[in-house]
Amino acid sequence: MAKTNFLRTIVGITMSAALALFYAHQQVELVKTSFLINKHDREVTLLLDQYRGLVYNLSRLELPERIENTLSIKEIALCMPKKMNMHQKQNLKSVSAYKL
Amino acid sequence: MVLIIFCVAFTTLIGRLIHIQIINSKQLSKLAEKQHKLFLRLKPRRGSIYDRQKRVLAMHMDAPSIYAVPKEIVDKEIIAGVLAEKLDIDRIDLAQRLKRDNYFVWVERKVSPETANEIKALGIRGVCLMDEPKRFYPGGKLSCHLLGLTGIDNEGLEGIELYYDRELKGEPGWRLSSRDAKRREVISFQRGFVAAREGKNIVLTIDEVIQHVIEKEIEFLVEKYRPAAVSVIALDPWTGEILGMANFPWFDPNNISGASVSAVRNRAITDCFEPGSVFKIVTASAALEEEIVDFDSEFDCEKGAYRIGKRTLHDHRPYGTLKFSEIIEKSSNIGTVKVAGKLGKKKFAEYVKRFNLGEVTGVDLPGEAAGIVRKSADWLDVDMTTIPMGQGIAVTALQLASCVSVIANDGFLMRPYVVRGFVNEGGADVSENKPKTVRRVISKETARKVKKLLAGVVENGTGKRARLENFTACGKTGTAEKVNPKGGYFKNKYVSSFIGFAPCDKPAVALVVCVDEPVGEHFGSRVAAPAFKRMMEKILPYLKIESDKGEIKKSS
Repeated sequence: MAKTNFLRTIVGITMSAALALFYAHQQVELVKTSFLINKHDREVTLLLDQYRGLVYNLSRLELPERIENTLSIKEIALCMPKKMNMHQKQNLKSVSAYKL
Repeated sequence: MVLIIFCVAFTTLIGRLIHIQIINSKQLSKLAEKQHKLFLRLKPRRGSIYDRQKRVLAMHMDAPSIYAVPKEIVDKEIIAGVLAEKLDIDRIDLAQRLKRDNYFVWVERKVSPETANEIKALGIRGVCLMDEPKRFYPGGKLSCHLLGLTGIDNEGLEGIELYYDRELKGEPGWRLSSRDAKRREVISFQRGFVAAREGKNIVLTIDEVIQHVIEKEIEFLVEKYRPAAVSVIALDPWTGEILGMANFPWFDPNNISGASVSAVRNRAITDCFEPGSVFKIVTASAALEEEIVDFDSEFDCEKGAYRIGKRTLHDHRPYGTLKFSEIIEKSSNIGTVKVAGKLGKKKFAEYVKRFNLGEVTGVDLPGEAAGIVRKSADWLDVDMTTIPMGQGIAVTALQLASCVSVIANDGFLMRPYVVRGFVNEGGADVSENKPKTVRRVISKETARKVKKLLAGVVENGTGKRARLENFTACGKTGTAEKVNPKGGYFKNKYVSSFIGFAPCDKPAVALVVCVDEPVGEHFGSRVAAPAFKRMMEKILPYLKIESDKGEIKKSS
């Protein structure tokens, strides 16, 4: 009888300890996940910043004034396109729309 | 003995436990809560501004700001000196701020990344960096008056940034979370969260290329005529969409430290001036609508000098008898006043009101002026000799654009607007602004007749220099003496203007050019009309408008 009680106590303590350990493990996992989320959040912020920087640079590169100056420096003269080419340009519009 | 020691230790532990858990629990819980609790205000991202082709005009990026923790700085005077030299700021002011006994002081906000790196390299204890969102305008001064500017805390101060500040800035959110011993957030133990609502992205009606064409032309006008100010507006007459709007003087919204208040003002909507002869389109429209005259009605233009009471009216050239169409083509003041006289004060005043003069156009920009038009009941007889030719009233450049659009779109007054709609982060439309018709001002037939008159002005009249190579055009020149605040008019200060549209039959663009105090030349026909021609010859091919004057001959 005493032996049975002793065994029950041991099992009870072991199970409680296991539960406590499991709980502690879960808490640690939660904290680890938190830090992982924070790390990814920082990475996303950094990438978004880089993306915005690239958009800004692209916008500056595509400025009409810059293009005009580049053409003028390279002495490239423009002329009105032929109607055939204008149709081609219209078809290309869908590509640029996709890009946007 | 062991049992006694064990019992004492156990009792002590129990006692301590009771002290912590029961007696002191409230105080300790409060302390723990204070240490673990983390309340974060989530700042929303300010929306971007795009042109009608969704090219970026204004956006936000993070910029480094420098702050100090005065309690951690040992030698405040020396540190203030070092920072002031690096950042080019006032040393005494900074030293005073650092002397404060607190934990946070701004040193300089939103500096360049290079400067931030230099400060970081110094490794001064108590001087730290943090990122803050900053507004950037990739085009620099391009469409500066339309876009406006933002303050240090990204609040709108002028232009679209101010008018749509509520939509652009979004709404802040918050997160109640926990932090660990190293003050790092433990997001898993989050206790409450309200997401920040990001600012809406705005798509404007303006086109970056058209805007560039306008600003380039303004640069040319400034170089050639050294005027006090210039305003140009391009409008889609059918919808009221503003395709481009620019003024001189201008400013760079990326660097507003050197900009004067006068340069920041959007003159096209805030500044009123006497329109001069361009106003004759209102008189002509009214006379034709009321069928007081037809193209061939003849009027004696008194050889250039016409005395009414104590006042003598003059034409810039002496004319004898002119047909009504010639009066408009040659811009005869005497003829116009005689036409208005035939129309009568009451009817004429009614048309001034129908063209919305003296009222704001309702454009979605801040600070619009209504112009100055006195109540018709207060008009004296002499007013009927001045107002029909554009004296004694004041209008804004946008009101003129609105007026000329009425002729271009067959008689409708459209509300001008600059915001086409709002888009989400992916570029998909969220909501759209629709064109709004205010009222019909004149009939389609009358509008067509006035168009014919204005085409005559460009082909045979004062607006010959606005004639386009490949397109038909309609327009009216104006040369107005500037009002002297001390009374009367300046004899050597003028506003040269041209209002018009092209092509005549299906107008794609209405354009208004106002040059304030040009030097050297002052006639609208010589200053503003050629500017109209140069701009239209670039804008129309860009909009893929087919030539209505045969084959396109010249490159643009």
